[in-house]
Amino acid sequence: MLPKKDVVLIKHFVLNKSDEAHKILANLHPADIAQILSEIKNGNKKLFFQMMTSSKAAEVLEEIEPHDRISIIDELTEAETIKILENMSVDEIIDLFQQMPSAQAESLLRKLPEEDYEELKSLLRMAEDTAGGLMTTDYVYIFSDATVNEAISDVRQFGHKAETIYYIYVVDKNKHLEGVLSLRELITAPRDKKIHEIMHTNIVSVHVDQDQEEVAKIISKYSLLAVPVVNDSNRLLGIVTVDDAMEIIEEEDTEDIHRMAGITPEEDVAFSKTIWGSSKNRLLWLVICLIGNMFSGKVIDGFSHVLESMVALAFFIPVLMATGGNVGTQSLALTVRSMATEKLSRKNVLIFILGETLAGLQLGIICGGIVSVLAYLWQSNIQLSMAVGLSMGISLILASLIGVLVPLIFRIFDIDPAVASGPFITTLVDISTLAIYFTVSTYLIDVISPDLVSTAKGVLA
Amino acid sequence: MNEREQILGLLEDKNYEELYPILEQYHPVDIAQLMEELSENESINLFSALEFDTALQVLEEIDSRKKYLILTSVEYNYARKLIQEMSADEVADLLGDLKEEEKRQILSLLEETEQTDLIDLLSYERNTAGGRMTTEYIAFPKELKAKDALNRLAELAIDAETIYYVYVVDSQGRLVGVVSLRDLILAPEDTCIKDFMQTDVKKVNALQEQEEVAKLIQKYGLLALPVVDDDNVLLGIVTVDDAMIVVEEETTEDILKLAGSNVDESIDLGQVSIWARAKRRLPWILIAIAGEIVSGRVINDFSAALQTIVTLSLFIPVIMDMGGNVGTQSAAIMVRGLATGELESLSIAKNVLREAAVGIILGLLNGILVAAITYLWQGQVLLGLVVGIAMAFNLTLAAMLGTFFPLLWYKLGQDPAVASGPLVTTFLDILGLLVYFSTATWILGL
Repeated sequence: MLPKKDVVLIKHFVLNKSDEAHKILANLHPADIAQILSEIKNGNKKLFFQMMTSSKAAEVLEEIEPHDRISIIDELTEAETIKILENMSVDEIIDLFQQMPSAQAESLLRKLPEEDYEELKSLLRMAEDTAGGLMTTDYVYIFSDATVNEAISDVRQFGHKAETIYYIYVVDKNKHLEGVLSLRELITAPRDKKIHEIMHTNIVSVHVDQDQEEVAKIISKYSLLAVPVVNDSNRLLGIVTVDDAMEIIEEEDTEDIHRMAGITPEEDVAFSKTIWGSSKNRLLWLVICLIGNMFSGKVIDGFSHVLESMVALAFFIPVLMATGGNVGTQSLALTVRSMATEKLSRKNVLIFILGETLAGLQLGIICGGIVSVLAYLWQSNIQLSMAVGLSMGISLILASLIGVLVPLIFRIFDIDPAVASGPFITTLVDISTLAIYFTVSTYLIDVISPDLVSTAKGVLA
Repeated sequence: MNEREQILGLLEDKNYEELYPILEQYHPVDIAQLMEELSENESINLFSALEFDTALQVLEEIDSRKKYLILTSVEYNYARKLIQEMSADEVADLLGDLKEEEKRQILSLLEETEQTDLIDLLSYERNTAGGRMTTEYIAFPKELKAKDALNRLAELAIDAETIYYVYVVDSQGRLVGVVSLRDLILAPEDTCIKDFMQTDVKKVNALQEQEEVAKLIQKYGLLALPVVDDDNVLLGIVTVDDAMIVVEEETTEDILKLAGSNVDESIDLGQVSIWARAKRRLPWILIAIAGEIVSGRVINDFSAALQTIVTLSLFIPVIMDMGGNVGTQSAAIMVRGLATGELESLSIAKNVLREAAVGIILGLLNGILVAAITYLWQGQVLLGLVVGIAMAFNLTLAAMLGTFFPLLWYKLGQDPAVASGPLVTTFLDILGLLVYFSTATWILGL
């Protein structure tokens, strides 16, 4: 990351159109320029792009969030834009066009060289969140009967435009994927060997319609730098590279964390820019929980005669509700994350559920013990302290179970387990906790000192 | 999983002729996954049936317990060969997981010089750049010609973790530049490395946190990041596949911490005892219990009001929960924003104000809704008003505090995720109840 004073200096040079600026920008990393640009007013951003070569400008534009690229394109003339686009990689152009109004995209598309036009047109038809929507067609391929020497000179010749030259794909003349070879293997192989003698035929590839999350997971699982994308007949269509995979993983992680906190994720933008936008994303679960909480109120309502006879019961509602909610959310977090990182298999899921239940039991005993002592010290009422402790114990076991089972059940019905958000679990747990608390305390107080409740009942009647 | 049974059957019958072609079809990662599910004996048998190259890759993928088991079960010389071919960071990770006695056993498989190298690697904390790096990188002097560099690269390639970046160092081993294999291959053969190397090298200090490493690799789209000491001497590299693992670990940590669990190093389900699982969740729960007792005291202070109108207690859950929910949402946004660097501004005031605006919107909408429900349920206008006003006020407060705490923690150099979750909700519960009962006494004139 750049020091602040450098950023100020660079801004100053560019905005004053100083000659220094050309040199400075040429030496900066595109990601750093993109970061500086995020602090520049709209309308001034074009100055930066006019001071860079079009290949550098393309690299910088690739670093900027697809969403923010549009406003920059709007500042530039069409001729400037086309020059930059010609230097961008295919997958990034696609991302950009998908953000634009289709008329604008179409008119830009028509000004691009003929051969790009057809290719882009067909890529644009792919769904955005699949391997097809993510892949680039700038890769290096060779034929299996070539020699290592020929292959190396192919890489030299076509490598400039390719997204990665570190994997070389071997195809037949109909472009069916036959093998893969790393550049490392290529340069260490004897120069006169044939490619088919040294290539790997055991290839990890993804289907063009496969979901982007799965593609990212495959790249991560097999530690690949890129994965080939094929269609039904195993024809090589493109590749997805590891940097794209990392971006997807980051997006998905953000989605998971937000969902856990009961925020509805947005399609594209991880961070909503407008205040109303971010309020809207949070409202759905809040309303659901608000209504759920009314059921908690209903539970208290059902026992209001007990409460009336012993107001002290109300003092322990917060501690019981909150602890139940905390334990439920903890179990939920562990479960959701275990599922996301594929640590839960059919084989160990029962052990996992059992383990969490036992952990809940343990927490229940400890917390129940502590809270009943606290209750006794505070209210010096043995029944009350027993009721509070016992309810805590039972409700924590139940809370762990709810936190584990709800996301698991969601997955059985093919709902994203992260949808079972913390707030949702807390609401469920609250209802069960309150029901347990009032049932237990009515029973205990009724059994040990029956006159207390019955007088209250009498009053009510 | 039919194939699994088939493989096991063939193993049992020692029918290697049929087994080999099946195993050849498998990717080492998949074999490793299969092995995780096998018993100790089955794993050893399967492992012995693998070719050396595959065996090595499988070994790097399985967990430390299985690694240890296999290295101590196969023949001594085979184990030596395996461990010498493993990358240094993998061996260091393995040693870090073992007990002293086991560690010595594994170290004895290595040559003395390798032992000292490993002990150096082990001296770094595991979650730092130094703890994550491997020492198998390629570095050349800057006067080398492209042609010669390529030739030497071809010789060195087998041992290196990645050959896609070649680092350029001076005579003292200080990092002065980097050349990608791509540049090297595409460069005219007679040019010196220094003429086309990049001098603006992205790098990290060995003591920096692993999170920083992953962030840099991601931001600059790198395949590997060099690790240097305070004098800029090149010590090792961290590769992109390790960065992906770091990202996964850090996210898990954030999610668990947000939910109020402490996190220790292994989040592995199989190995953690139930007591350990309960223990790392206990501290925050206990703190929350202490806080919630204070919430109870608040109710106690207003028990006169409660006795007069028991109906007030019906809305304790909604008041408590909704504040907690909004607080958690804000905290999650902050924690994630800080982790990904997507937060536009780090200023506490700016973020708190922005979230306050969100809180007011959420507060007004939910306040109106809850007031309406209260009125319909209880038929009392004033009670509806009390609940609605308290709700609106609470949610605004919740959004502000949920933003404030993680940011404050971050500014104090602490992990923001710790200051979210239970800590925020507990605090909000106390405040929420205070607001609720104060509003009630004020409006209902109790």
